Amino acid sequence: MLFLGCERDEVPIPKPDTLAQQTQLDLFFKSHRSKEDNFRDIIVQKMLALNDSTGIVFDLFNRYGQPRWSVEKTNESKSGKALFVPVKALSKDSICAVFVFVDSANTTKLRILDNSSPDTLVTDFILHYQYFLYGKSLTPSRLVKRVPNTSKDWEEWQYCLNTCTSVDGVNCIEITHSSCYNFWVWVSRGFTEEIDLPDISDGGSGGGDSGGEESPTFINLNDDAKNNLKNAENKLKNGPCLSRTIINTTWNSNLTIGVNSSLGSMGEHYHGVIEFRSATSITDISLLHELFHEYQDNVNGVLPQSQLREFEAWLFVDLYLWDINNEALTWTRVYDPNGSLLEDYKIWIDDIYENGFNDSNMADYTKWFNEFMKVKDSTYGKYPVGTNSNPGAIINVFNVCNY
Amino acid sequence: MKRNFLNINDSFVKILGIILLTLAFQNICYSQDSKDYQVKGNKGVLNCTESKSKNRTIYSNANNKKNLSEDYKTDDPELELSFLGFYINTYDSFIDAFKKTFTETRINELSSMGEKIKINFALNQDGEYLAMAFVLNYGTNVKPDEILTLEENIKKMVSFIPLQKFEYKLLTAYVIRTDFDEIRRGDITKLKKMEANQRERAKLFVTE
Repeated sequence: MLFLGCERDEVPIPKPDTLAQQTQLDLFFKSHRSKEDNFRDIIVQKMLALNDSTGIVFDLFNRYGQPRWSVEKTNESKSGKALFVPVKALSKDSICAVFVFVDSANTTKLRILDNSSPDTLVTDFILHYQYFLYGKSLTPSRLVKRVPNTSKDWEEWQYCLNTCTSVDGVNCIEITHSSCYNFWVWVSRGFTEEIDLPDISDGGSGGGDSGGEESPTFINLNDDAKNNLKNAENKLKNGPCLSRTIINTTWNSNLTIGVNSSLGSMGEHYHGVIEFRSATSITDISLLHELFHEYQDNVNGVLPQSQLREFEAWLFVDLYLWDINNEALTWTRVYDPNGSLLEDYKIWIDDIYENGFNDSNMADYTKWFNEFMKVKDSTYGKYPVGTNSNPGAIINVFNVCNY
Repeated sequence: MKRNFLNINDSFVKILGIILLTLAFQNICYSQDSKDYQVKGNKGVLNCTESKSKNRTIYSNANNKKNLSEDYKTDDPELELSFLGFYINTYDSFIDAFKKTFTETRINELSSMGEKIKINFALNQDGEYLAMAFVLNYGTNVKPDEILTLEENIKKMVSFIPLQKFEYKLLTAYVIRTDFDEIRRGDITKLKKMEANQRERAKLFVTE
């Protein structure tokens, strides 16, 4: 209802062909507020970059109208991100299309769901926004039927719940029962057109309200170091949600990244500063580890180095490796491959990856922290244990990614 | 009221007793669940660790060096984060090692039994074999001599090429997970993807 009030207060918009291009651009992005949603900010930058070369924004504005950018936040899942933006017709309070921005498999696309679609599922989806933004008056009752071999694909998903017996509410003695159910998910192919958005990882053409973000400052990087850093950055930006969340949150936050050959380890992090010992120290994995420390600072505040802080960062890198199907996890590589500890750790990682943190797997957090410190005692042993035994930064990333 | 209170108390003690007995029983089961033993084959001796509840049997050559990590101690806590890993000489060599070890009939037989296999390789920074462990289903039908022969053939036919010349001594790992159905079809999807990913990484990073 708030949206309704705001929209009706707006000054009537003249016909599009009478508007100057700058006015069209301003109206198209009018409802966008930066820093509310990181993916939405990136989309706006990409649209502006694409508009510089193709004039796409003017075309969409004239054909559809004015996007309502702030109605929805980005949905994130393991398969990628999706942002739904309803588009209001210029002359009336009516939603005429929904722009769906999807980001998966390293590409970003704009798919347009148009209310002139013959597909009733598409038009019902648009009516959902009509109803939400402008009330019930325009909403008819409608019976939705599946029409085979038209614009719809269906996938069958299965969800299972385990019932666990526990006497202390923490440790699972035994899974006594599993109940599973299947349901059908409609996968829309009903968009009227699909537009590829450009990759702006090199900085793009700028534009939009970037909110004062600052690219990292690089110190003492030779060509090899620059090359490795650029490739590591791209690998993380194009990786799964776990790495994208970390790099998108930390990369443009006044970081300084440099090479310092006198370092005692391959990489080190202090708040706002990441150093590597040499060009060959810079990989996607080492960069992710150091950036995660920066992310911890964002979530927990700037805390001194500690054993628990290190464990969380190593655990996060292992979850990332698990996500990209690499079972050669990090600190357990020194484990006896014949032993059961290595396999038990992978079961634990898989449990966290599949179910997030819960009472059952959190019960083993201290056990694996102690195992980690047995392996890393000679180096991290000098750090204080730390007070934050809750993997708050990982939980934060999981929440963003819907893991 | 008093009578009622006593009843509640009695019930509580009974329930507590049942819980404690259940816990004790579980502990006995779990302590017996994991078993370490050795099996002798014609070609050598295997160490075996099996767990019914985790549905796994881990085999490894009894000749494997113990406490490998002692030889690879380092003062740099983040050494392994800068190691880019390996790719194997050819994707086919891994399948060929299986086909040299098991006849087609035997592969079909193990495939129909739903046998899975995971191999944990312990390697040094140059890709030299330090140890191998085979993780199979609990109660697996794969015979110890087949494991020993497979180990021998993998060592002969499969080599690990590091993506970079790494100047530090490092104990590291490679893992291949598959099943006999994939071996039968000659198509290990996960391995293919991992190898493609590693070859792409090799092109991305400057390593010398």
